Amino acid sequence: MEQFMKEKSKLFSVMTIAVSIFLTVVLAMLFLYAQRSISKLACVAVFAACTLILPRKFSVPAFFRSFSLLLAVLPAVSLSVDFGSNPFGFTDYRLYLQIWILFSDLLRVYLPVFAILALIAYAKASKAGQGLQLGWKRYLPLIAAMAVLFLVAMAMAPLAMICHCLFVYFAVLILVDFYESHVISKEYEILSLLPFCYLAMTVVSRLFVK
Amino acid sequence: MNKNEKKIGIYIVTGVGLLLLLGLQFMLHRATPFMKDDFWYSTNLVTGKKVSSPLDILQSQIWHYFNWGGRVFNHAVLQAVLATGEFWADVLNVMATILLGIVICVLGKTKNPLLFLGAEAMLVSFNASIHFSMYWEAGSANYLYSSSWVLFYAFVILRSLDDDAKKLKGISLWILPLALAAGWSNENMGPSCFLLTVFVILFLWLKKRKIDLFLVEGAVLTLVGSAALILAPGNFVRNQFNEDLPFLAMIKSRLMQFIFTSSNYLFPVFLLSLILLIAELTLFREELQIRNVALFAFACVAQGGMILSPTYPQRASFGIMCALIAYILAFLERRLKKGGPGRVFCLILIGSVYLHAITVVMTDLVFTPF
Repeated sequence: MEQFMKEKSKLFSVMTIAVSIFLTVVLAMLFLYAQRSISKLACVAVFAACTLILPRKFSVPAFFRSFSLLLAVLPAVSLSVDFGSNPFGFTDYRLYLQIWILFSDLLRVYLPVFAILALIAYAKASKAGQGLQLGWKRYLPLIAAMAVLFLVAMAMAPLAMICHCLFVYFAVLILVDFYESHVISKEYEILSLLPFCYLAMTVVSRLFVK
Repeated sequence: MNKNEKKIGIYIVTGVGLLLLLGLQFMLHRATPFMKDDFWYSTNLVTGKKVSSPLDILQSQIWHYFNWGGRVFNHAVLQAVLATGEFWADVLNVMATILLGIVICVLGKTKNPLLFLGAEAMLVSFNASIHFSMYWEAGSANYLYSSSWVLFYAFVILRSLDDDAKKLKGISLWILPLALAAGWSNENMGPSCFLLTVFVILFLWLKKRKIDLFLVEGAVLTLVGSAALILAPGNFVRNQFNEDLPFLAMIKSRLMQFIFTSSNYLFPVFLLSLILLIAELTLFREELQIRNVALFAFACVAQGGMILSPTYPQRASFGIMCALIAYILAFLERRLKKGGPGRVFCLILIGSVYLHAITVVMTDLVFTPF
């Protein structure tokens, strides 16, 4: 029985890696086909790889997860409002409301996702009879940087775009680290690729559907 | 702080939160005048005169059924709401929002006031098209109002899967108009209600459990309602204006539409629900309830049904979004009951979505598009 479980676990592991490689290649090729830019693809790939430094999880499935997440949030980072030539004066509250809207995906997407992942992580730790050590302190520099970026964006509207890009990237760093450190588990790794397949679908739709 | 004080505190926070959110929404309703189809539906569709009695509505909807479309239930409600005037229509819309929040909580099996606040916030925050599903009268009748009776029907049916559910009084009678209205609501939610009922009947049959009469009535009436909706002569008149594509081009178009709408209109509510489903199937297997999986599947079937539609405006994702919100709330309710640090994360989720909802409504008030 124990041997059977070991073999089953090995098989699922291999399947997860195989599926991750396949999905990563397909996603990369679709991105390349739509964008016609190897440098853009390489840039995203490098940034995705960098997100794995914090959790120290250098595996193909982890890379696919980070890659699909980054590609999914990137379009949200490409902005339609040019704050360099803003229609509102710098004393007009509507300018700051628009900048706030830019950052408000933190409230709609990143925080709810984080909260749900935290709920899952807590339940997982409880089941194992352990307390959950979230390790908040490791995120403090990133959270502080995000707060600074937001304040800089508010204070200097022409920099709002680049601040938002970095803000989103730091949010992704936190999410990836938390997910890889506390949520994901070898037992159900293959099933947990599903939400990232959904994110990959988001990427495909934005690349090809106008 | 003892338990009672905590409870009072929760009610106060929820009350203040709701007042603020619904108050801002009411202001936005007031800022949104009747427009587009509202003017047409304000009149008797046969005579062209302003609607002044239920007979006008009946006459209009009979004409509508044979000449423009099958959604007679929704448009009857629309005409009734429009007839009350701009102010009372706005009041009714806010009341419909509250009612929908209650129905979502009932479907999610929660009585927690904080989760009710969360439901009201998610209706705004996760909405793909808040204006055309909640503020535009024609849209609100088709989506905001109709989702209440559709989801209530889903609740009544899913209740049969609970081991400890007592039979509701007189259900064999009042299920008849409810099922008919649910089936006759929208082209995707109606048939999904029928399929949900069939699934529940099959499940009970396989488990050798009693199949109550109201389930069979529900299946029949949702099927009748859906058929009446989809096969309405008026739909064929209206479809003449749709572009005819070659078969392969049509398949490609529908597939791309399905992929786009699933990943954009239903983002992030579907992502959150999918994460929770995976968690339920793996980590929380002992808590897994077939009713919750069926609820998630109901939303997926409703989304899948849209592949048969030539058009899929953003507002059409409203009912699917509501079903997924109920699914999320059901999960949060179980986590809140467990207590501990899980409560904090639930509060973070509800708090962040609430703040976003306030942002959305305030933004729309400032940058009013109408």
